Amino acid sequence: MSERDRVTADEAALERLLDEVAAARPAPPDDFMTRLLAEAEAARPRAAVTVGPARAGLRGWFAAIGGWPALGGLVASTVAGVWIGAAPPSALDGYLTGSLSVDILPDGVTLLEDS
Amino acid sequence: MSTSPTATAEATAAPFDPEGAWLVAYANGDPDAARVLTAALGPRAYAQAARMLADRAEAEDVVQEAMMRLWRIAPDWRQGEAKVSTWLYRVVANLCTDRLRRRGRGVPLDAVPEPPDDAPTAAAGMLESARHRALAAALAELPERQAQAVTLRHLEGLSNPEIAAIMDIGVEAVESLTARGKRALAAILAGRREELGWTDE
Repeated sequence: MSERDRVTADEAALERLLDEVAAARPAPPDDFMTRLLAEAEAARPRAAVTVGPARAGLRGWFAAIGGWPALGGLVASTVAGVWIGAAPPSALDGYLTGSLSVDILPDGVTLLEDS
Repeated sequence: MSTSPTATAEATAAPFDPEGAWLVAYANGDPDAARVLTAALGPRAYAQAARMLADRAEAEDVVQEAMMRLWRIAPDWRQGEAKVSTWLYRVVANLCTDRLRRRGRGVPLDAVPEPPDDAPTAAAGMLESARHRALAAALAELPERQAQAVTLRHLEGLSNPEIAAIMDIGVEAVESLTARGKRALAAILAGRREELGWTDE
């Protein structure tokens, strides 16, 4: 075999070896993929993990007033206000018509000196 | 008749990279993105590393490192500039040639460890066989760029333009690196003809 033939044979053999390795389909073990995903999760930025802004706004408001119990109180006081406006109890007669003046300071006490 | 503006826009637009979009979602904290990207990229990177290194344990280390680098650059990822797969091929190739070099240039093939007792699965073919390890040892003796060009072309089956993008060089340079790399590999392996079963026919 001439030198040139030998080089050609070596290159052909290399081609076959490369083809064999290329044909290998090495699949990662399942436990490795599990570990890889855990690392991806651990490295994932957390800052933006929130619900959408619209829902956050409504939910935030609801939570801020104190949830369902607070909403119940809010509804009850609103209904009471409407009821009092529509049909005032007799005890409120004097308060809702005309005007009243009430002294809140003891006699003889003034807040402003007359100049 | 005028050209449709839509057709022109489509022709000039950068190809959409779904993995790039997922990476941006990952940076924004999307919990699905970690799962989708790991499932799409992990096995591909593992196969590349295992073929280059002929060592499954080392391939796992390389993939872990490459994926961790991907998660770290996610917040700075700019879509449309490079494909995630291109970036990952480059990082895995670099990490593999680093490891091959650390194994030491010119390690005699006698020193290449025998494959473990558990026989490789049929799907893995000749992975980690003596012949595969001999190839990895020969790759370790090659200049890094030649080793990368040869493996991307002949083990990963990528096109020259794809390799050019991965290695950030021109297509002609890829062709030259691949040709020189293969000649050098054949010469290195020729010294072990009999061990490799390369008989003169």
